[in-house]
Amino acid sequence: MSPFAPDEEKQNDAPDERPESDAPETSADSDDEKARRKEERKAAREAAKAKAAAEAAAEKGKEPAPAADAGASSDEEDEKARKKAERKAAREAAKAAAAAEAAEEKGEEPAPAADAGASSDEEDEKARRKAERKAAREAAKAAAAAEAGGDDKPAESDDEKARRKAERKAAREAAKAAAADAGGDDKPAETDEEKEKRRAERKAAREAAKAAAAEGGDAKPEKKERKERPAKAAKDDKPAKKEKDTAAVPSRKFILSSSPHIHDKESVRRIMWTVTATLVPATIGATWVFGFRALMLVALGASAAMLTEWGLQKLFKAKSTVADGSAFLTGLLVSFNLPPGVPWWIPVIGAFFAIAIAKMPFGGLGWNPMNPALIGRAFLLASWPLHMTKDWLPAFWWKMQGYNFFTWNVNPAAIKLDGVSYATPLEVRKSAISTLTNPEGLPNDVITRAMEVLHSTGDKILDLVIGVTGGCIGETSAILLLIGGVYLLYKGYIDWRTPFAFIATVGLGGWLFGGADGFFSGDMLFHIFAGGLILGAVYMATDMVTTPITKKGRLIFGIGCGLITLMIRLIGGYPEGVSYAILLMNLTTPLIDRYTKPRRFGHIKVATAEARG
Amino acid sequence: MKKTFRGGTHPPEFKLTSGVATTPLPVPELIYVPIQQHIGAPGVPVVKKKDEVTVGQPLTQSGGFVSIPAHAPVSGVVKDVIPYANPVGKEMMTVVIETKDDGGDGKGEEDPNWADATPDVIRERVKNAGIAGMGGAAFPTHVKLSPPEAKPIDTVIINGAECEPYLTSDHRLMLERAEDIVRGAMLVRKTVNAKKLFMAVEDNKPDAFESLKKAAASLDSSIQVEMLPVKYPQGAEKQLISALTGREVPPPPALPMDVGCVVQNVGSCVAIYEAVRWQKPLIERYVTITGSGVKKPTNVLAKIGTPLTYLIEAAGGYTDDAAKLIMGGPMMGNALWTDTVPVIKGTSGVLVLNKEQAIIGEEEPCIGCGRCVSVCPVFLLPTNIARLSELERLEDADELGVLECIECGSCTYICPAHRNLVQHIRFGKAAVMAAKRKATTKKEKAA
Repeated sequence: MSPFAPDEEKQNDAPDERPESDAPETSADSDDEKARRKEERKAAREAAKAKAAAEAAAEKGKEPAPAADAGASSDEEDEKARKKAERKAAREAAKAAAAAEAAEEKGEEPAPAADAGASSDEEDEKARRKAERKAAREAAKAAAAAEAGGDDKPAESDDEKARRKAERKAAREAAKAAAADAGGDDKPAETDEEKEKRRAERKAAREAAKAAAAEGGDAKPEKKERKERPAKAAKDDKPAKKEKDTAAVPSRKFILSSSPHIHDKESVRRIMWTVTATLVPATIGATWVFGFRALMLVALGASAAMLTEWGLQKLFKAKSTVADGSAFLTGLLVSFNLPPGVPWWIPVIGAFFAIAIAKMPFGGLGWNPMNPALIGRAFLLASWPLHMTKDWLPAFWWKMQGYNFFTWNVNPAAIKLDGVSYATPLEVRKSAISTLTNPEGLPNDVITRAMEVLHSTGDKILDLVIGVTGGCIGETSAILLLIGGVYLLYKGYIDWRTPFAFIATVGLGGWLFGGADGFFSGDMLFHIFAGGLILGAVYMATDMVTTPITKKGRLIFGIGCGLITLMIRLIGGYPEGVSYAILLMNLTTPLIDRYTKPRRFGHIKVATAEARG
Repeated sequence: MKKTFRGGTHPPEFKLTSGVATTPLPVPELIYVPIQQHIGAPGVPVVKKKDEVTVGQPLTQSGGFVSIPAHAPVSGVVKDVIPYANPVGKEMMTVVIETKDDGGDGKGEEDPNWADATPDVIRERVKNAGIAGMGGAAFPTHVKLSPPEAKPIDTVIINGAECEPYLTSDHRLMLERAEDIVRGAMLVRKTVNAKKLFMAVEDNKPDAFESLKKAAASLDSSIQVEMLPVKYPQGAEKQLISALTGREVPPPPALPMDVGCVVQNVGSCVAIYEAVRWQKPLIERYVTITGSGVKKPTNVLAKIGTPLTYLIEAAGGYTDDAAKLIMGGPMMGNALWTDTVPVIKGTSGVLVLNKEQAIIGEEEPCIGCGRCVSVCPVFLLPTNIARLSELERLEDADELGVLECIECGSCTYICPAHRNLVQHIRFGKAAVMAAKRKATTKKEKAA
């Protein structure tokens, strides 16, 4: 069928496909077979390597000679000698194989050069295979003995397989022998002629292979172009054959992974920076109300937090996670929870504590049990209670005489309004209540004043909503915080359940219990908009890490936060309780999650009876 | 209110090939038919090397009740029966056939009274035709059609949701063979003796909806064709039942028949119809070849056993940056290491992703955002189960329902920390099942 010179190809062009060519035509069961296949695969790998090396060399233009064996010596001259020897040996082997074949085969049925397996005649097939094996053995012996010499005459074998096998073996042996002979008296110079010849040979081989493939069955045109088959596919000779055409194209390596194979664009980094961005309006608002000083404190807190995280990770040689934005956000929130008149080192220490104690020792983002920013605040409140409870500044203090927008040094105690040291609305209210609780011995005007305070808070609701009031840096402007919150809701970064439950509980409870005239006399809006409730409910009680993951759990969490806040505001010693409420509820998160597991799909008692109706 | 299920997510659809008509793929030179292409017991090969086979001839006989035969997709000679690369993962005994000619579509003699075939005849023919669910899971169809008497079926649902992004083979089938789908569906309804027959399509395929509706109206006006809002995993059996009937299939090992439902993919319907009318075995199917890694995404009608290389060829070949080869859709498909594996009965698509898309972010710690909880269509706590599985706290994972995970991938898709939740859960699932098996054997030994 294809009386070309396919053996030439063997020596020159495509050692890599040889080994793969014969596997499938043999029975799958015999151990022999398996061993042989394994051997072939190994050879294939070696051959591929050798081929790659040869190509690399060819590219440099120095040495276009094909390598037939991977076990090449590095000495170039030896190499050449060896290669020549190999080629000769291979030719010899092929010849021997052909001879053996001719002796044993009927020769009536020429198998296609490229695909012996296509034969459908069973008996012939068997005989042929037997002959092949024998031939291969003989050829190998002959080749090993021959080592050099032999002519260039192309063997006209119709038995690819045996020949190839023999060649491989012979080539290896010959190579060894050549290497042993290393002195190399027959140093072959690569003449142009020789190169030309080899090129022609390669071409002929390729054509032969194509022709054979075409004859092998009703070859479909598209088959010709099958490419880039991973080497392991070698089980089947046809695909392996195809590889011949494109042997230079490396096998395509596919990425393997568990499904799913696509991913939402969302990432932790994106979430954190988006949350941070939604706090920008509140920051600007705070700067307007409390002056440039507020902005500086926020910047100090944020940078201290990032620096702490970066430094710790540097120290412990861990991968830096500063870029994920969570440290920045923590520092920002620490500063948001400070009175605007605190000294510069307060936010720095608070942020440091938040990161170094409340976050990183637990394993960094995702592992901290409690909100780091609130821990930072709690630490500051316990350590510098005077700064944390007295450094309030009235809204627009910087417009007062002697100050300007950029004033840094300010003594909060020196700023008085109406003769009273200015505080937060909640603090004013708290002191009024304590005045009324224990009025004995107090002058009448103080008592009257306290009564007025308690009954007049309603007038100031608009100020509270806008944020033109005393309080922590970031907590005063409810409207700006809510704008950010709405955006977070829209993006799905927070669940409405937590803030809703939190705010509703505080509002209802404040209305029910917070009044001076008994039940239902409290001011609901005052309780909602005064203090840090909005900031806490929208930004801190929704912190993903420290709050429940179940929907029901988030409702419970919000209600719990609300109740604790109310207790502290109405009964406890502090005027404000949002931050402690959230911290305490953080600790219940695992428990809440455990008891609010959603009902799993299909776990219904009245499963179908009703539905079928 | 539109009918839907709870949970789920909505990945970008990427239905690149919705408008590409299906073309038959030329028959390859060598066909590789694995002996098992379905859930259940593998078939037993009944041919040997050198046997002549004609198209439609059984190559294996079924190895049990939950087992189906495989048939010769072409006429030719059995070249060998060898272990060969398989899309499911491991190598599998595979009948390699050298094609002589494509031998036609494998249809036998037409049964003129096909429409009056009795349920038993239908089941028999479906089983002999080797039909397995063609939506991807490949559960033997005749098993679904044989509900025990204790579990009466009242509703048949034909699944044309095709909720996986990219895939369009079912979409094309609904456009091109709507009447055959409806005929198959009616045979199913008759076989299980159900009253209601739903056909469900997602609303991103209005043309398929219209096509089915028209076909249904012309054949049987009692068929309800429903348009469901696009949401993944709408095409998952249990979620589809929940969306259409409000019933929830109890946790495994319960099956849809436990709530009186049978769900069949649209492709299976066509196969059932052809099996009953012409006794045609399942030897070809619609396959979508798509994704950013092929030059010309398309839909083809491919013989079972065709190596994927031919399909890639039909789609214009790989692009230079093709990096990931997936059998099935992007949410639940298997990544393959080689394109020499054959098309099998459950192959709805071949997806090739380019480098950019194939890279998935590095796994970071869970930040507890709870997104996985809200998308989980079986209401689990994926992040907790994954973490417990990672820690090999198997009992705890089992208690949280690790075995009930349907591996739809919604949680992993949505996770902002790029946690490979499904992978961890799969690991946990396998470990829990292994532990349970062990415990059972121990008990049996003791008894």
